[in-house]
Amino acid sequence: MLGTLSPSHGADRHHFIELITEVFNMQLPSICRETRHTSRMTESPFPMVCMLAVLVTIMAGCAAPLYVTNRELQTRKNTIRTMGLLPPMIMMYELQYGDKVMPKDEWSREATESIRQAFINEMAAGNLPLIDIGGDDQELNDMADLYNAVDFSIQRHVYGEWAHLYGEEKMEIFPEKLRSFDYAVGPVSEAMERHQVDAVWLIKGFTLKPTTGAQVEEAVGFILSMLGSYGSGGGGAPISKKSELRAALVDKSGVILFYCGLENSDIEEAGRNPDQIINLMKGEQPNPNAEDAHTNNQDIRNQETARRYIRKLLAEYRKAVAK
Amino acid sequence: MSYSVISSCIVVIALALTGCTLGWKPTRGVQTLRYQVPISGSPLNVDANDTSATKSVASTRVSFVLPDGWHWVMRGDDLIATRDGVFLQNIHYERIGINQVKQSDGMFPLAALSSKQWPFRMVPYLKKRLELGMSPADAADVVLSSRANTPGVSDFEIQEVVMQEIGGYQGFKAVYDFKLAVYDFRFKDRQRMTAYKAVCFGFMRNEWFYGITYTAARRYYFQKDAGVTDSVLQSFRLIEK
Repeated sequence: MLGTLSPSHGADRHHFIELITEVFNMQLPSICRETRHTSRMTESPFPMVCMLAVLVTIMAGCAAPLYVTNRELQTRKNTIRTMGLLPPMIMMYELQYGDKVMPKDEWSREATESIRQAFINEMAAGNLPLIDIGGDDQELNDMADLYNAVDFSIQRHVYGEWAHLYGEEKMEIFPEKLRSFDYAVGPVSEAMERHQVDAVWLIKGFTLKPTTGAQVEEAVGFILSMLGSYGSGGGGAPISKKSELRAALVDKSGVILFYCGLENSDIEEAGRNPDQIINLMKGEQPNPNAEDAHTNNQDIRNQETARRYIRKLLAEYRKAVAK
Repeated sequence: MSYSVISSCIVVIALALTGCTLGWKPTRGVQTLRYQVPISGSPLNVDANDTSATKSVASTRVSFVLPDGWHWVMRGDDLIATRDGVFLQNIHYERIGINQVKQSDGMFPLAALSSKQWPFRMVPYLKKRLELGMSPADAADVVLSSRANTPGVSDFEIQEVVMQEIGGYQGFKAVYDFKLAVYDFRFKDRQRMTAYKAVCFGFMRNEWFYGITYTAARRYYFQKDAGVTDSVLQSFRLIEK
């Protein structure tokens, strides 16, 4: 298995919680009946443990990897000295009442710049040579155009993206792609030599910024689903993720050596960084940028949020090459 | 263990298994598509007195061999196969009745969702109608005009249309290029257009059009899998009885 499985992946965890909630909603009346009449369910937790075991087993199979690697990464990683960065493709949308999604061009430009700058800064902080390649190279632009379709395919067939939202678990996964990740975008050695890089990063992402109406709708929907009276509720809202960053490292042969998909919950896991906690314990004023990012880590325009995404991405890359 | 817990477990397992069987399946040897019943109706405002629809007969069954390592799924009556994903490369088998006005997505419209997004659907975008006894050149014209008329397709350019025998029937081979925005269906933003190349083989047999189309991203993927077109075409057969 070339990819690592992370059962804590946000969307699946969210889905798992929903599923558990739903099962408990479904089970509670029968448990109550059992308790009233025979008290069997209170004597032994075994049936519920079995139920949870089944669910956990199924969910484990559905867990999406944070990153996947081509088997060539281990042999080619030593040949990669200087990396290039193509202009990130970050989109921002306003999520309005009724799950209407409106693209926001100005916000998208700001988010793209935040990610680009964060990437440059984090690479410099890690002493990793980087060349910021603009968007003028036709060959690399062609590659980026194709990458759009490749990225779509990876999400569908490696990550099984969106499947959990519609109750079509695993229907789109190609198991052999998980066993041997082998997507490519075609040779780009000439273009990379022109820019004196050994590999390039392609970065895509989005943020959905909900309006007040959408937030109210989501909160009401959540409360209703918790009460067990919100339709089937199995899939939750059609759009559950609020932000996402996906990145691929492509070498001269066009092979995608490393691919990583992160969402807001993946950078939430770290919570506040330790420095902030120590500062707060000392009674110092919190860093407004960092605090803002902590409470608003869904907006990629926020520099702290962008930095966290890139830091997590590079941490995953380091893990992959360290294997 | 209580009945409710057991039944819940069974439901959960059944749902998971259903998910596994409704999706993409690995290719294995000879594939046979059962006959297709015509969907009644009159395309493109056909004269109401035209009784040809009532005379419609089912299509013939077809068989072919899909390449190893690919996956296939039925989108209604169409078969779609791919190795890496439909937006990277696909083979699409379609049978269209001359009076057909709809193309179904099948009973489970959300199953194997990417196959519902792509490839082309011919019927909804027909500009001309297929007709009984149509020449291969005219059939090619109908097919290509529908392709060019498909929403999201741009820079459609026909490279070549030649007559070719397919499974023993006189048909056509058409090569065309186009661009398409591959988009996340949640957002429908069309930032980048990906360039594609396609080879379509088709012929008319009685009241049905039979088509096999290989479409792939022009960069890298078209050449990578170009060989499959010949092998698939070689294996294509109509099963008359």
